[in-house]
Amino acid sequence: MDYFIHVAILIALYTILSTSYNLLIGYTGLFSIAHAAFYGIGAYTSALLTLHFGASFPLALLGAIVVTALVGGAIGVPALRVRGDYLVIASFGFQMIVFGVMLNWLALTRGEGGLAGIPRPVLFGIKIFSPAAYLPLAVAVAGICFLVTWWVARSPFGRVLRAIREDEVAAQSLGKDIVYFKITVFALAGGLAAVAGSFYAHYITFINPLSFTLDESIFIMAVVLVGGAGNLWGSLVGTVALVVAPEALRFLRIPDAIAAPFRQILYGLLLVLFVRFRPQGLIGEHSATRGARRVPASGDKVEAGSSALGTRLPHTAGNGKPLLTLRNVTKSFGGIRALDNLSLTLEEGRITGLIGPNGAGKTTAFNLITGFLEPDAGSIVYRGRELRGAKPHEISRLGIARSFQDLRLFPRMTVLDNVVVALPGQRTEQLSLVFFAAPRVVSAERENLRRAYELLAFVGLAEKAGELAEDLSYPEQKLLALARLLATQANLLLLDEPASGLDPTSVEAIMALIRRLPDYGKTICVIEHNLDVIKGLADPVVFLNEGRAIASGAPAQIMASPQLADIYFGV
Amino acid sequence: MLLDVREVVAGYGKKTVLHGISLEVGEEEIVAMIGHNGAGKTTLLRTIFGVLHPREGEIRYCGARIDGRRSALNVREGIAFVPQGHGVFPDLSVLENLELGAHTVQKAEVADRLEAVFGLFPILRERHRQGAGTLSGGQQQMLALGMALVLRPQLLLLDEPSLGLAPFLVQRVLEAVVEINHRFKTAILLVEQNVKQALQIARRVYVMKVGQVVYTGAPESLAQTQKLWQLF
Amino acid sequence: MLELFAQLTVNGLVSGSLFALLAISFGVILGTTRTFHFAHGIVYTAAAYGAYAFAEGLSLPLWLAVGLAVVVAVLLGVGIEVFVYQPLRRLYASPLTVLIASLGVLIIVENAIAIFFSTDAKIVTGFPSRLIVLGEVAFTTLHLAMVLVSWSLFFILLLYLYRTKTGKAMRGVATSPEMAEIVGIDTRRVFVGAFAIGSALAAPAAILYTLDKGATPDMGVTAVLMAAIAVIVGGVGSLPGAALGGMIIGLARNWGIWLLPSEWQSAIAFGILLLVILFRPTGLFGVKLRKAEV
Repeated sequence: MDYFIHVAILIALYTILSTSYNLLIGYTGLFSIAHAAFYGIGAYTSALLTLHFGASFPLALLGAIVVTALVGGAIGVPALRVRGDYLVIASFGFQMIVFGVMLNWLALTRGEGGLAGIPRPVLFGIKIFSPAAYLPLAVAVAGICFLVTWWVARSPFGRVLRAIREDEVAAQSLGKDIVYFKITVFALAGGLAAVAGSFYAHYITFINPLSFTLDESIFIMAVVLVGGAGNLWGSLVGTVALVVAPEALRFLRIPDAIAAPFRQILYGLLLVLFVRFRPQGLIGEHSATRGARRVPASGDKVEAGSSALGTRLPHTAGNGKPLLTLRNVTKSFGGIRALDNLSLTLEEGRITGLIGPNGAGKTTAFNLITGFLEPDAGSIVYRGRELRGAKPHEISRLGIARSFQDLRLFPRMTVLDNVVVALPGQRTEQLSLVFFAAPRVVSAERENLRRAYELLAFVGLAEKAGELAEDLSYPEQKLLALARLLATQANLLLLDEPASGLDPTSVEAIMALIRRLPDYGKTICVIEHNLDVIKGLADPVVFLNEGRAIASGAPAQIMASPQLADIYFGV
Repeated sequence: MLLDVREVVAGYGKKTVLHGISLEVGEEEIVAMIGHNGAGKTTLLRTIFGVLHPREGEIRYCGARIDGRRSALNVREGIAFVPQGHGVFPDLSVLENLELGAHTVQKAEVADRLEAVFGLFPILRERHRQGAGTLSGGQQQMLALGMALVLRPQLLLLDEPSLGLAPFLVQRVLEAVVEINHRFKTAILLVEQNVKQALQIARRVYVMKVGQVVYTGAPESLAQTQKLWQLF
Repeated sequence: MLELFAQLTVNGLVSGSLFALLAISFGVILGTTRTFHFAHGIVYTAAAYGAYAFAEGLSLPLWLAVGLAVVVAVLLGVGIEVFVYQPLRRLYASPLTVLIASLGVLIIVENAIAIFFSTDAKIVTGFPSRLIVLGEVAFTTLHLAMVLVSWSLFFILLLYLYRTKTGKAMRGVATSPEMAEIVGIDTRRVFVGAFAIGSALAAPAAILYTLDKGATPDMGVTAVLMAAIAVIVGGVGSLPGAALGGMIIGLARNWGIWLLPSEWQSAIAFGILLLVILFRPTGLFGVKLRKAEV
């Protein structure tokens, strides 16, 4: 009986480890191989606090969580500077360093000999000494941790994590502070792993470095990948499968000496097979809900466009006030001058077209306005405020948004989520609010969903709300990109080749939508090479060449000039 | 007909760029393909060359179908491709670039062909040890042309050779293109954004818009810029 | 004091040379195929155990055992490319997916070796090792061999890459796989070649190490980590950089003994890695990484 209780406790502990690791690797796409290090730091901290400082169990647990969370957050910092595959090496390094410390800092950890005699927990005066007594506690704690992780994953915070996983640049352009999210999720994952570590230490009452090796990290990774990255229930299933299965191997009477490597081979095999044949794991991220998520109850009539887009203004031809002004902006790359004293003005409420030969500097101008690049000289003023030096997510919050030539959607998120994540001012993306203002999260979500639906209805994608973005056709994806852009509530929309890659009918459809936007107070700037689009949408048109604006006027005017024709079509 | 493209549909992933395009190139002809950015000109060349495969339609070369097969086979049969933006190996020297260009050429022939390239572009001989990435834009373009030339191709696919070059260099490059056509009897399908220059050297011209051909005719017929504004 | 420093420097140069060899073996593969071949560690280990099995198990002469071990390494390395990486690439798998598969292969083979050979260190005999004393420093003929073999192989590799047609094609693929396709180079074959060469270079490193300290199943993990760090420090895409990275690690580990207890040797390398990541992510000679493409 004791044996089964032991296995159950292990399942509880590993559930905490796998769900917290899933947050990191499955939800945020941060590929770290160092989870066992967090596990170990939590265990050692908790043990040392009780052994050397006589701390009570709850205090030791808290201490472990805080210390490990801080370490986790600190790891987030170098993680920001490296690309995905190099993060693995860095985390590998961290894992090995931590293991080295555990093994070699004899004064603190007694090295390989380990720490023995760790006291069993005493909670509210109840002595939890036997495995049978431990089990309900472990299950309760695992349940709480699972709930916490689940709530975080479902929250707006969790949604941004997934957006970061899918396309970091796009997430930034929507106003998300990547630094905050990455550091916070590392701290959170670390803190949760520490809970498991602390419980492990006070259960086995003996810990040594060998429980927290790279092998352990790999086991946790196997659990998450087999169960299903991006799905917490998958982690539960994976935990049960991978904790129970090797135990079942005992009945195969494999000699003890090779039992450990045998299990490792099993994990390695699982990794290779799953990654090759079933990368989504046993329970994929969207398996249960694909195509059916959060479709509104039939009966809800969605008013296309109402409040989500902003109020419908009485139709005016645009009031002509300058909204964004570039003055003498210069930008060079290496020896090449991409922008050469560029000056141009975008007037409020109008659709300004930007045309010019290749390399004229059009996309560079967009990059500068949105803060992805810094000008070498000149000023960019928006509503009287200088934009130089501001970061992309700051500029986004000021009300400027851009689309990308290559769309940059979030492919494995639903159409609806793609739009919701772009809605601004979501204070419930702050982790602290997720925890301490739960009811507000729920009501805010309802409002967000409503507005997102309206936007989808505006572009005509309401029926596809539950589908994954990657499953849409290309024209539909372009519409989704537009809806996501509108969701940012930005007043100045920079559209980079909105019609590219579309067949003539879809071009018409998207032009019709863009034409309506000034009615809602939007100011638009369009880069396009398809002159039909420019002729049909833009007035004024600005002609860029070699990094400067050489003409500006109505399309008919521009296209009547022989000099401009020479430049556009080459002499 | 050297090259015969029929109703080709092609694209990347979900994005369809060519919506049923047809064209022809005759032996020793210089044919220009113009059109707005994003119309699919580069995609067309890549599909003909074989780094991209069509979803529908046929591509025939010397009468035989070549669509769907690996581009290396096309290289061996005399189709050379000069991609947009200086198709060179930047970390390798000029000479090494040319040697790699001649990768599929019989060893005995390589020396002669390199000589021919140096004859056409003496600057490359001067700088044959220099790293290709450190050459100027114009020189890189000449190197890229030279790399295609060592193959003595029957059909040369050129993707915007004048891109990023100063006007006098554009002139120089297109003169070289004409010389290649005269000296080596190579047919050329030239995609260009510098419309006027392309029209000067081409015998026929196609205009592409949104993945289809919207006009074809003699270069003179496009002398009026009004027509061009309409077609782009 | 100075004698200690001199001795540590000599030790550092010796182990640095082995690390350099390891680094270029990993770097050839990473640079040419852009695959983070974690399983390279197991090719390394397999070479060591191959030499052991042939020399001690089958009592073959050492030179023959070494030759066969190289063959084993090449077969294993190429096999992993053909049966694991190629299928994944055809499915357009993400680099992280390939990495996980590589890790999985590493774990499987490492533990299979542990089961088959057990985990105690295996010694390979047969190398006539004599002590040489030069002034204040001492080293063995084996150490000398490490230095000579490593740098000879480095030199031979450079000769191959810069003087032969296939070598230049490999550099072409490393620089620009797209251009390589355009000139008609068979990139698949070049990839296989890169794996073959990288594996063939890892084998002597493994065997020399084994002759000195013996083989354990987990030797490959440390080896591939050090190789990866050396390549990152030196800059991805630069073989001289990788070799330099290897030397830096070797010297740092040994000089570090001066300041830290020897148990911390591993941590030193990771410390260097951390510094490089924080302050110079492209490495010493690396190709400039493009900024987030907007």
